[in-house]
Amino acid sequence: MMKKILFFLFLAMSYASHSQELNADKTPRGPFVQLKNGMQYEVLRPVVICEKTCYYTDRYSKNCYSVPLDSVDGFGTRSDVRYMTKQEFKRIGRKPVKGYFFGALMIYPTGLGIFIFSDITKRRHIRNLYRYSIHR
Amino acid sequence: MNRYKLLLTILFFSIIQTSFAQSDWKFKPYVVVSDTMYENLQLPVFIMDSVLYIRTQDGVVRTFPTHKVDYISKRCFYDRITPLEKNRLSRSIATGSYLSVIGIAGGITAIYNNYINYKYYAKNFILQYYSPGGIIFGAAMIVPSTIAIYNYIQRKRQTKMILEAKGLRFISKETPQPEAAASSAPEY
Repeated sequence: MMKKILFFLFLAMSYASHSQELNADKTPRGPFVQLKNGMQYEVLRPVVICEKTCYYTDRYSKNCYSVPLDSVDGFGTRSDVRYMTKQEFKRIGRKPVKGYFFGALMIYPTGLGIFIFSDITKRRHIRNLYRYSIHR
Repeated sequence: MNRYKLLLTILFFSIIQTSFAQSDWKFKPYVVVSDTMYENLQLPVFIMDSVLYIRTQDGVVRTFPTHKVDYISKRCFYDRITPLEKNRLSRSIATGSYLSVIGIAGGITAIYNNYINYKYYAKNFILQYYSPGGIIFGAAMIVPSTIAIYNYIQRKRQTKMILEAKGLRFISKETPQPEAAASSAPEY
């Protein structure tokens, strides 16, 4: 019992100290967008480049933003950046995302459903980027 | 008769050698643009919206309008991206990759199974029947799956080249970050 309490305390303390870390000191681990003014935004995959605008979803607030491509410096290597034509972006943005049921069916036993869900999630993010992006 | 065969073989190889020497297959991928040669290019080389995209040996992406391009060597295997194919660049590949990997694994299994059968039937004098159906089936699964995976990789590379040509860069974790860099928190 004592061991369990100590282990729980250890976890709680590590969580508490982790959440008090300054964000400014962190180097993004996952996908991120870096602007030319040096700001880095941790984002959700995928990041969309359509014509002269970059669209991304903030990882923490889940808000979608669009910035002019001129002000973007680069991306993290794992950011899954998609170059998209206006027509394709519009098509994905306007159509409803389907395939959840099929994905759930295919999870067992082949595991294909996991990959279907991965694709569906990314498609949903792209749709959100089209519909709700706020110009920054 | 044997001399005749030997002569024909030598003639055949000579023709092959001559045609190979006259073509540009023996050179590494290169393009000639406005009388300037760019050698040892990294693949893919492609044309999109009347612009030729190449990646030089140093990893730098360069673009040229197609009217200035004089020659593209055969080993570039250059690709023309039509407006329809441009939309394909942005497609997700997770499900396709999974199915392709399953196809390759299935193909290897079929070929191996066929090989086991072959070993069994080859030893047996009575049952000397052997069908290469498994090999054909295996190859029919492996080849399209491999091509599909190759196309996915090429698509990713092409997208990366297009973005790099627009002046964007891909920053790895090891790249030192600027001091002013911060996460999104203070901005909101």
